[in-house]
Amino acid sequence: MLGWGPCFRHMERENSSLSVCPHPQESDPDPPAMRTPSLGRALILSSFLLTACGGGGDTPAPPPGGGPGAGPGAGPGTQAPANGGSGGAGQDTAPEAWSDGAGTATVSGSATFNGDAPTPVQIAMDSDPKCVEMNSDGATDASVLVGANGGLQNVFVYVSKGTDAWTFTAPEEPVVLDQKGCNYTPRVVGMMTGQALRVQNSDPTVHNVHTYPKKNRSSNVSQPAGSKPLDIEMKRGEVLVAVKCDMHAWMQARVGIVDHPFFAVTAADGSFTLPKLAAGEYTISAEHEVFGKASKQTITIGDGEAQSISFEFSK
Amino acid sequence: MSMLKTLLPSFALLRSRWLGCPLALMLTSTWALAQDKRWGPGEPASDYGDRFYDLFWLITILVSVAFALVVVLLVIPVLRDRARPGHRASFDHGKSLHDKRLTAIISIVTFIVLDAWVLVIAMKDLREAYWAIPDAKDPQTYRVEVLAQQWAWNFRATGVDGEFGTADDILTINELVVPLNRPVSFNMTSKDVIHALFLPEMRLKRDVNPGAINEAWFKPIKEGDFTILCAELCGFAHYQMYGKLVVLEQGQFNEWEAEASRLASTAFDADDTEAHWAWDWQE
Amino acid sequence: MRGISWQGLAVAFGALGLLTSLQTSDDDNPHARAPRGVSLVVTEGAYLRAPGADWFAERAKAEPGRFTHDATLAGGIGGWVDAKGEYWFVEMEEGEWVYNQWASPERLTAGRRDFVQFCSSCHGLEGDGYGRSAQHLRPTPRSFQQNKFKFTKVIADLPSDEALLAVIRRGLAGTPMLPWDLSDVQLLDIIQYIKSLSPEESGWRDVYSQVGDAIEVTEDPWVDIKERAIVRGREVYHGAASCHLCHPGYVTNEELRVIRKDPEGTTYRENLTYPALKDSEYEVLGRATKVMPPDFTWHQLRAGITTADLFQTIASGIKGTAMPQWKGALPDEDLWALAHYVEDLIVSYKDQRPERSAFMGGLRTSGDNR
Repeated sequence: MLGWGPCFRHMERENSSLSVCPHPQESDPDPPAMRTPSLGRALILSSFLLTACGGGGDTPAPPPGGGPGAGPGAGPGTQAPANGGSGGAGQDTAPEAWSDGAGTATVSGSATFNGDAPTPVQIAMDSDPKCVEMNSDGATDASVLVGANGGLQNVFVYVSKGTDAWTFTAPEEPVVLDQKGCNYTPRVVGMMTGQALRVQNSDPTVHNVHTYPKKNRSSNVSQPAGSKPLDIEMKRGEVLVAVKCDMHAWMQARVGIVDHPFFAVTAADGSFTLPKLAAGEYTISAEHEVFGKASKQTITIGDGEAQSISFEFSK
Repeated sequence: MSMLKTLLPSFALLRSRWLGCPLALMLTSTWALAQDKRWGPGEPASDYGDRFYDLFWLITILVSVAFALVVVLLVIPVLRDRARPGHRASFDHGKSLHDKRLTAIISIVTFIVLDAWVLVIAMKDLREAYWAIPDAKDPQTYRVEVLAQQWAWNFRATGVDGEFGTADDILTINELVVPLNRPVSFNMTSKDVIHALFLPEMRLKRDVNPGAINEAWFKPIKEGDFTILCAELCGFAHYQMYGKLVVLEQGQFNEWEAEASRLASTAFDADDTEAHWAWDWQE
Repeated sequence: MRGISWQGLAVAFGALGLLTSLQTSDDDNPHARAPRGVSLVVTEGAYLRAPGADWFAERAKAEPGRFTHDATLAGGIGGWVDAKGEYWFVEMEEGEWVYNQWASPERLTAGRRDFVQFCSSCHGLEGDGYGRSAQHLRPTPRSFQQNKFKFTKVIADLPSDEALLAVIRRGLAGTPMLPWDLSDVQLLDIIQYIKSLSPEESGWRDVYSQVGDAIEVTEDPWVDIKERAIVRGREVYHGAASCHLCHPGYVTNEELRVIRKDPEGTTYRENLTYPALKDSEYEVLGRATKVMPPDFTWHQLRAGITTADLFQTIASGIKGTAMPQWKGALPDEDLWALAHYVEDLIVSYKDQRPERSAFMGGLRTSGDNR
């Protein structure tokens, strides 16, 4: 493998009328400029000119056309579609596009916490006087909020199985996560894959938006006071991605990302509603940032029906 | 041969030159190399450094003299008994009783003068310095745990509380700060392969073996920055394991220790148990 | 000593020497250098993410002849061959440009061989960041299954080969990561192998991740007015950027109040002149570790201490740690001022013990500073 050698192989391709076999001394000193790629220009890959030049006659050729998916290893061609998320396990028919009026069933219910509600812990914000100023009454840790009758707030409830028959389009408008009073509002949000999470800073102080996903790419960008909102995209379904501000260690939010619109965050009394479901069998999961996952519930629901389920959490 | 003959016409002159030249050359080059900071170990900076320095020079001088003598004794008969006009080349096997006695006497005298002399001094040095590990219970003793690895030196000092395995242990990589005029005692082991802690100015060199705790010590008597090296030969990057040894006068050292301890406590993560590696001090 | 033929012995030694010298050329034998007992042969190549089209176009212009492409001809397909004879190509997929690199089995095998020999003691045989020598080590060696790299100075998700190469060549000061002086060919092979260690749908096997070069060093606007840069940097450090929330503050409470325009009597975090331990995304045995932000007057910085290095590090942030990306959040002018200020702290106080203790001691004893 000693750099440039004679051209040893030219890959024959359909329509490849050019057989370029460059050598440093012979090649065009001023090659044509690369066409700037533009998003949304879906081009048919008609010509696939491949030349493999250089030393070492044993260099294998790139695999045949059809792109990376055709070859061994994990090429993007084999990856999940843009929506990502839960793949269609064992589905026989291609999923069809979901139309908004298709579902008329509703699942509602509540999440409850078994046991005594923990006493709220006071947050020491004295590292940043601006935060202290905005929370003059004192701020408490909001990770566990237990309401009336043990209702647990900020539980992310979502359909974890049963939506494979459809594909869903993410809404254009972003999900907004505001940094206000040195806390995230709301603390738990849900969004669809491909939808943007718009993080904005309404505080007169600096924050950094640090996401801690496992399946998606993490990011950590600072947002001084008065900065433009920051759009974060999550391309894969992942439930409860932590968003933290490292500068203010108490600041935490959770984002649940799924590839369909059937998710909800429980209200102060622990209640939630999943409307507009189509008839069918669903597995519904719930997760809380401190107590983790509750046991899943499987329901079968018919058109226009309403069912009620409940999730229980404990320490 | 003819060239030699023209160069060295007089036998008597030849004898003295051949004794003097190699001896002078060896001693001056050794001395010159030893003086150059890049090559030599520099002036000793530990209290027992002189012992090893003296021994080093003693051996160098003795070996140089012996080497020069042997060279001359070899060259003289080669020239004296060579074939030349009017003289036939001659040699003998040294098998006569006289020759054997002479050989035996030379050997014994060489042994007594060179080896036994060196051996006695070396044993004395080992006993009185190298193996005289200071008492760890003495508060004067500054204890350091050394954990060698590919490719760095991890040092752990007790911090201000004087105990290993606590939050304020001062952990440094490739940098060691020690107080002046206090014995510094090492407990050393390795995570992976054999390393060898080498403090050239302190005249300290000791292997660091995985699975064993080796001891060593020195007492710095000079302030300043010195060298930490790995003297292990086999392996591709031991030569890159260099660090800095800083000797500070007691007042400055106390200041440094307090600050380093404080920063260490700040960096200490009690939940991260995998990061904690101190061991009970071995004596 | 009768019976031994000295001439014969000499001839035998000579022959042995000759044989040994003949055997040392192992270019023809790919297994000659392979350590025993480790399965080394990679039988399948891997598709990996490669730099974007801009990178490609720039290189094609800068080094005509080294790269060839027919992007303009085929409308979407570009290919080029690097100096090693590896073929790279780009293609269009679903309206997005996707860049791939094919690393051949031979190349990956060579990379793995060197990885096992030089890297695996810390980074682990399978690149999990937990080799024999990684035990108890903080900060932890990088796991190549986690695909996060602290000091590549890259804003994109993943560093380009060149950015990784720069880190390996430079090493990370104050850690066991040496400045490696292997050949470019060896290092690039190792890099291809490291990239192939990404788990499915992550890192260099993730269709969504972007690969980028180290952040551009823009023009330093303070080059002739360093004094003013340091003053401005000090204001930004303790003001808009609030670096003192994690790093030490290098001012008294009184000065901080003036810089931040806070009312009289405002207090700040405890131990203001010490750094605060921060969470990180780096895991050891499934457990996240914490990272200590450096005190610039005390700790050694990993990725260089020239103004340009500092600018790049501040601008790109340190991946996986609490240090965010500042490019875009603050104007470049302020980032340069910060770089000058930090550089000044390092030059004035790091390893200058009397100066440092006078400076920090002064901050700590003055007035209400805790």
